[in-house]
Amino acid sequence: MDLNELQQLVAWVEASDLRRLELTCPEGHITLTRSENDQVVVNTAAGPKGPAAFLGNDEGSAKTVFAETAGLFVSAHPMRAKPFAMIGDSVRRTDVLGLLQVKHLYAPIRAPIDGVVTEILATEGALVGFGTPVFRLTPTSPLRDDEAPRQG
Amino acid sequence: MIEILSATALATVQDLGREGYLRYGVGTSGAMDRVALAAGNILLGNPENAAAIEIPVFPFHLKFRDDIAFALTGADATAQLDGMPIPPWWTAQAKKDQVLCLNAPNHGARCYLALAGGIDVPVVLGSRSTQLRGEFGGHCGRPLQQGDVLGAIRSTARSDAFTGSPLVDFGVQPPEVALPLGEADSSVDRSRTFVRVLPAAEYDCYEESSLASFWEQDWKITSQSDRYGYRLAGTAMVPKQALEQRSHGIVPGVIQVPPSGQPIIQLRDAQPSGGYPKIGTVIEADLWRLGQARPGTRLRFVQTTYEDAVSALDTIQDYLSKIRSLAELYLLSKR
Repeated sequence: MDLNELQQLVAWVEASDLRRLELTCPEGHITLTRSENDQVVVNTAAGPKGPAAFLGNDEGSAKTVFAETAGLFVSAHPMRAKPFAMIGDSVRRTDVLGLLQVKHLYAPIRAPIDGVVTEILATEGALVGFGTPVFRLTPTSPLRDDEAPRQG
Repeated sequence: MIEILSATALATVQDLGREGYLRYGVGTSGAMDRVALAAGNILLGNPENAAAIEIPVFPFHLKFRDDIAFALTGADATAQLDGMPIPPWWTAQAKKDQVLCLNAPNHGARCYLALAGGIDVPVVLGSRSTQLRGEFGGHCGRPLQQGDVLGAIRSTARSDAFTGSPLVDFGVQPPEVALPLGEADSSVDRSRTFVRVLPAAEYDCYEESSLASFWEQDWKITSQSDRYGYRLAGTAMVPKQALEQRSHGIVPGVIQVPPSGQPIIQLRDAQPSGGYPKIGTVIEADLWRLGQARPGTRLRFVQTTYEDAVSALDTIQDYLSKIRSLAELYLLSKR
């Protein structure tokens, strides 16, 4: 992140009603805090603490899916009644399992592997922090997966 | 570039509309759901007024001829990109030769497909919208046909870091959820649309009982409803005495009452003049709700004031500003 981008970030925070913004990127961690006299104060910490650390780890046969952004957990798109994923559903890698809502924005929670949803660890509407476990999947056995790999 | 694969008619290139030419007899055209059009552009970092494709007939199929980011807004067309589901009100990255399929929505009437940079068609009289009556603007002044190829304007809206990023994968809350109107459960009961209406010049010329039922009844949107206007059916409006007028200027949203007593709402492709009495006007801030109301569903008019009509426009602008800054922040955080 260069100085221009940092200035842009400060401008966005100034224009918004945010009190505090935390941003983690591969280069490091930045905190923008709005002080009592409405000045935006910037704090930075260097370090390789990127989202890659949260992309999931194997625990025996189960795969935990972690939130890659902070937000409110939403299981179904508001235009649809049916949740993206329910316990027992077979999902393909990159399928949307749920959404993380930040005000009017939705970030996807995508399946990192082909598998079956065995646990939904987040509560509907609850605030989920960056790196929080949200789903657990059991990988589909490659031996029993006789379907062709997805194109594209 | 994209190639239209469907033989379906009536999909058109639209932007926010052609303002300022009503005096010359040129209607406004433009997207029926302008909030969806603006939001699709915002998802891509385009100017809000960039041109997109309005799709009212399904299924609709198109092929991407290049890698390009796109956004889908408006009605939920359970879209699939080479079989991969794309959620509604979403932006994603398409690869060359991928096929996008838009299916018949369960509710809502029109889906909008926006491309990064905006659809590249010539600007005519200040707009890229298709003028169907005049056969100009948009793509060759006509609805899209099978085999049509449309390009996108090279995007300069987002910095290089954002363009072509595989992380273009997020959505925004649709206005039907963010800006609800009517009964508390109206998002569940999608068979009825509420729109706010200002009484117009000839409002007082109707019988009291007619005026009461104007506000209280469910008006049916008949099958004779399209981009030109919606014909409604309900208890006929009865004037206190026969009304006759010379033709005068009208704008999208005007509710006219022809001699049958069954109102007509003039919309984006309406001619710019008419002679029927005007009982009211659907406020500009609610025209997008009409754009998503289907024939066969019901419509309810809610009386409002000039001040509230103006502040309703501010509410929409506020929603659009918020999704723009949220999208920019999100993309920066995903770098």
